[in-house]
Amino acid sequence: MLHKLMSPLQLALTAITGILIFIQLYMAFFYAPTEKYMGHVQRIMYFHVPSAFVSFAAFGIVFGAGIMYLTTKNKKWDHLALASAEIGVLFTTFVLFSGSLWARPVWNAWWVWDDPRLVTSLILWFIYIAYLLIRASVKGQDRLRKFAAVFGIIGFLDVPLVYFSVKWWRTIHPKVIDEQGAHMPPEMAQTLFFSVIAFLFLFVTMLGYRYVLEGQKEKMYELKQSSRKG
Amino acid sequence: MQFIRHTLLILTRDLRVEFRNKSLLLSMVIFALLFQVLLQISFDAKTEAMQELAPGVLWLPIILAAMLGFSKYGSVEKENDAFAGILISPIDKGSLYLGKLIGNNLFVLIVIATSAPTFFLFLKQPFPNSIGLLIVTLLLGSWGFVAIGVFFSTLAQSSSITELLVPIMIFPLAVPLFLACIQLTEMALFPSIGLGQSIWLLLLIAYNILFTIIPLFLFDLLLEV
Amino acid sequence: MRLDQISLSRDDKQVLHDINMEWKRGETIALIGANGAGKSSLLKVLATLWKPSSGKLIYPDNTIKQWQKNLGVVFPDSFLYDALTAIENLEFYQKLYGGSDRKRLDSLLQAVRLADVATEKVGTFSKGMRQRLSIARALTHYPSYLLLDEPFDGLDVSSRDIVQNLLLQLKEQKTGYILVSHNLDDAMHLCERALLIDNGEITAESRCTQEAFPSFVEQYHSVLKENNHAVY
Ligand SMILES: Nc1ncnc2c1ncn2[C@@H]1O[C@H](COP(=O)(O)OP(=O)(O)OP(=O)(O)O)[C@@H](O)[C@H]1O
Ligand SMILES: [Mg+2]
Repeated sequence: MLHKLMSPLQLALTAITGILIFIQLYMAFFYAPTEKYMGHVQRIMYFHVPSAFVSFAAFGIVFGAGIMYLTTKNKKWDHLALASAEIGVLFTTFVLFSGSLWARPVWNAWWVWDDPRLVTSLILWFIYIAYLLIRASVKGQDRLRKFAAVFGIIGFLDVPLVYFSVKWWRTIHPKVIDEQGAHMPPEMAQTLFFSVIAFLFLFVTMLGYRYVLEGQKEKMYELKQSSRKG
Repeated sequence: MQFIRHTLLILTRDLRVEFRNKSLLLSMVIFALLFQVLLQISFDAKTEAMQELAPGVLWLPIILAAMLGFSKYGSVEKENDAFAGILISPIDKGSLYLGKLIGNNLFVLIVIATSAPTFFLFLKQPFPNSIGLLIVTLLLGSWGFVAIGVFFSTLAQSSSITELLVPIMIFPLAVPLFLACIQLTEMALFPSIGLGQSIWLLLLIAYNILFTIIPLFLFDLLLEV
Repeated sequence: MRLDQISLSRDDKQVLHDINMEWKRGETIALIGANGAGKSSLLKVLATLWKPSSGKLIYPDNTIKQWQKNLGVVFPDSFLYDALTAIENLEFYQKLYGGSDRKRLDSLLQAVRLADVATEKVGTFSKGMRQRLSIARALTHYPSYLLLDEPFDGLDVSSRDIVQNLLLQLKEQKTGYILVSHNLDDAMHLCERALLIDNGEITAESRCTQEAFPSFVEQYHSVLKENNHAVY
């Protein structure tokens, strides 16, 4: 039964992801040294930064799949875009949360408008919430799917514009945030690097499940159609 | 040539309908003025503080009045399902976009023409530092915002997405535009070193081109069944 | 025009199943069926308003734009602008199709007996007047294919006669149309061929001749009876 639901590839991927995340947790909490000034709070970085990577990858996939859907009209791409957007929003939410948890002790505020990455993440979150809201009204109509694809593409193209405009907006005012991580001890850098890899695996696994689910929904819908017909 | 003729056809029809009803343009203008007054009252601030607030006070009424326009401007096509009549006609739908863009922009420009002078009337520092930059910013900013607004509200209308979603779709996408407008307006209003002026102008122009050209070519593709 | 295995779903509900039909130039077809059978939906597919979820439309000139150009539609929604006058509405639609021929518009208004209210706003029109204007609107660009979804809806007896004569005239001039009507006499007199549509499928077809038509009518009545049984 199980092999019908999951391909061996997916099973293997799930297992590998489990192991990687386990190691990642160990590294983040025990292997990496405690930071001198910020203390344990700094460990949030091992979750915050990888999540940001994942959300960006996710929205990149929404973009790519949107283009593919518009050119091929194959619904599979549309399913992939939806799956990816949902996971992307999830991780962006986490980026925002962990970002403010980090900001509170370090910058003494829950939110700072001076960090272009954080602000961009917030705008990104809004863009893809809008995307999901559009998707929510898609009921098997191709025009809506097309619309969602276009929105996903334009939303992604908008991201660099948002990033740079926020950056310029702030740098004109003489306030600069020092870039942490420039001189990290090797254990920290290793942990961070490993965390990114582990999270990307986590993302691919989740994406796989969500994508398969969407395909099954579609199949179910088609079955229902043909049974009604017969 | 045909494209331009159809653009003008859509434009004149919309304007004829709107000027006959009058209500939309009038409510946009009054709304912007009212909101302008409200903002001025609530921020009744000292001149120094106004420097920070002024660009927002100038732009917010314009933006919100424009939003009012997006949802109502196309509503003539909802009665009797006339939009379907446009969709099944053989015209290049890019001309539909351009016609609506020009018409909407005309309305927003009228709003600006009334709301911006009022702004200076109330403001304690009555003359802008650089009137040329201010005008350029107002023109480019309103065009860009209307472009993205018309694009998404017309698409939403054709795919029966609720109007409520339109602001949620366009505001986050328009963030770079807002920031550029606010920055340039601040530079135009008050004496400044003008740092980064060209970069913001460039951003504004790029944004305008992007959101005018892309929909123009995509519209036919997007609206076809 | 040919439809090849057309199916259509709206909101998770399949409205049309594997429709195959051919519509030759100048051919007049009556589309008969119970309420909710899918007649209007089929016309919307033909009008390129809805995209079929599967199957193919084969256009006579192979391009959708050319098809749209040759097509006129009268749907339950009139497509008219209430704020514009009758003549302005017609003018707009004529230009939309690339024409500008005032004489044509005047003669159309004459034909549907609206010439004396040509400069009044459509917002002030009654249902029947709108319906007649909508028919004129569909004809401004001399379409060679017409889709008529219950064109007699809301018309009084004399307007009905006017429109019927108009259709007969069109038929003579080899303008083809698909007529959706619940009146079997209309179907019989105005069309050459009749199709019965039931639950999104074409279940019967007949020539509109004295010999062939009665059995078609019988089939239609049995479908209606079945539907009633399903309800009660
Ligand atoms: N926009 C829509 N969304 C969902 N379902 C729809 C939509 N339009 C039509 N349907 C469904 O499609 C089916 C066929 O409708 P259609 O309007 O084609 O019927 P019809 O044959 O024209 O009926 P009538 O004689 O009442 O005009 C109906 O069951 C209806 O519920
Ligand atoms: Mg109907």
